[in-house]
Amino acid sequence: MNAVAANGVFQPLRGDTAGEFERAVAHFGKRLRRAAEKVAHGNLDLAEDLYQVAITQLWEHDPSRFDDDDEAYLWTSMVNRMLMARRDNEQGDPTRPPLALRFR
Amino acid sequence: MTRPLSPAFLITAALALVDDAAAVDGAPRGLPAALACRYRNSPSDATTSVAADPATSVAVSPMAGWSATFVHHAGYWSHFDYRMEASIWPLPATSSCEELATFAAENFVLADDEPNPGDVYLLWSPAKKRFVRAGIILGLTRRHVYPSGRIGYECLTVDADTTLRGSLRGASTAIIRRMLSPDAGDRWIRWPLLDRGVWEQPRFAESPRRTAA
Repeated sequence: MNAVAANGVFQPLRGDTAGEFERAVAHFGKRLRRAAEKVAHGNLDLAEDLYQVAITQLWEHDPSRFDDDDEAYLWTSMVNRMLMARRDNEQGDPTRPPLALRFR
Repeated sequence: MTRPLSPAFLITAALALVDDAAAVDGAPRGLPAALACRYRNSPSDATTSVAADPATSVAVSPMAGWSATFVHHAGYWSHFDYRMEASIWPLPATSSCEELATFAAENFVLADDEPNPGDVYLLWSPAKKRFVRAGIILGLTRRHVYPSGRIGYECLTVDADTTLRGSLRGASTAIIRRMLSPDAGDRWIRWPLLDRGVWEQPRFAESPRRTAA
């Protein structure tokens, strides 16, 4: 009798890619907040909005499909998204839909 | 008569290869570890007796990982017919997700609609601009529309070469809740459509009785 059978009931190993997202948020979080404050030129309310926009971008990208080598790609993507959001904010149209929706 | 291509066979075989949660928590590894070694063989041990097994002789390149090798292992043995001493698994024996995608596209079975249970998914990496992982879809649980308008499908999958967080590379084989999105470049291989039917299989088309007559 092997060890698995002797130990009792087999429970399959289960996981969730949400864990990888949480890890990415923890990894980028502080740096991203600092970057958001710089992009917002010290406007803390706008910085918080930009941070949320960047985190949403990270969630959409799904960090489970990236490894450590791809950190620069994710970072650039999030910063670009913040810059786009700031530009939309400056153009005075906060209800403007995200870029992907404008071309659908 | 040979057995048909069936997603049920593949799912059953893949689920049998999922690691034991208790073993991962630190208990001594038994059967799952031994089974895992069969399809994790690296090119360096290709000369050992394990390599004589056609399902396990797929060389694992460090770049590609062994997720596609696992899919082949599960597919090969789930469709193995002991009477014929052969498997009718239609996908090529490879550890390369790109090769799987090319084969599927050439045979018109690379899909981007709603995933079906048993489909082999290919995960696209926008950073690397290639497919980086393959796995088996157990089922679709939810359909998401992202703020950008992208559509995603939350699926349960059987993944090898991963961790509990569904990472790109890892030591475990597990059931993972994962978001797949055709808009992000992901695709799935609807391999049951490759079933050629009994009349088209070489063994039956070239029957010795027909040539004698």
